[in-house]
Amino acid sequence: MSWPAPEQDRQYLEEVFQRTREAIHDLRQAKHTIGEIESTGEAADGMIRATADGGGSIRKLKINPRALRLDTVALGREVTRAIQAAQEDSARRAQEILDGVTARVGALPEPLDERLIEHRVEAVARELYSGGL
Amino acid sequence: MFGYDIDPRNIRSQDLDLATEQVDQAEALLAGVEESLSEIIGVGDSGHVRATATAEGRILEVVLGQQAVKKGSEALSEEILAAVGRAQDDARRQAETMLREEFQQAVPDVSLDPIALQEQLSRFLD
Repeated sequence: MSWPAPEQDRQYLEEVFQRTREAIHDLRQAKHTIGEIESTGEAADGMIRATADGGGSIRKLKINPRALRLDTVALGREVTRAIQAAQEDSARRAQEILDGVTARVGALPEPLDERLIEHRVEAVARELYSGGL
Repeated sequence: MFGYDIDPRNIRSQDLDLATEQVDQAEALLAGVEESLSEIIGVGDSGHVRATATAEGRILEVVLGQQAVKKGSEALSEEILAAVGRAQDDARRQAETMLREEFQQAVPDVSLDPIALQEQLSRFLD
């Protein structure tokens, strides 16, 4: 990684701080947006309709009384299909939101660590040996 | 945060060895967790309905008993919603128990609850 010059430390830190704040804001926004997802899935020619939230929980299930004419095995299968369709749509939308925010958060500058100290100590040592100090 | 105390003014080589060992253990844990999670199946019952769900909450199957449709479509919808919710809760509980146990086995010296940490992180984003 490239190191900031000592006189730029403050500026670098402020930039890291600002971009971290933006990343947290983006993550909060993404969580909120995912929380508002309402995905619908249908089966049995629209007679069964399920609604999933962004976390994959099933919030609503509407079964048209005409669907009860199906035998219980087929009805169970159609209910499963409607629920799975709603969950798949919700998962796809949540993933899209997460992909967007991950791209921005992933672009954060690398945090400074003990290697910076090592780098600075070496720089001072070099100055000492070359008679600069 | 961790159960093993390292004195920052006096970090010994055995402290680094232990920390490295813990990282290796945690990596091995993560590699195994995904497979174990995929094997979890949560089950939920309500009235004449039985539902099954994966650890991620995906519904695998809704099975209706012969008597399930007797009380009409609204009552059936409610029973299905209850069974589905219970199956998801059951799968989530199994996953949490498994994660806690595997974490404790992998890094016994670290007193950290991965589920509490996850909840803490989630609250941070509220």
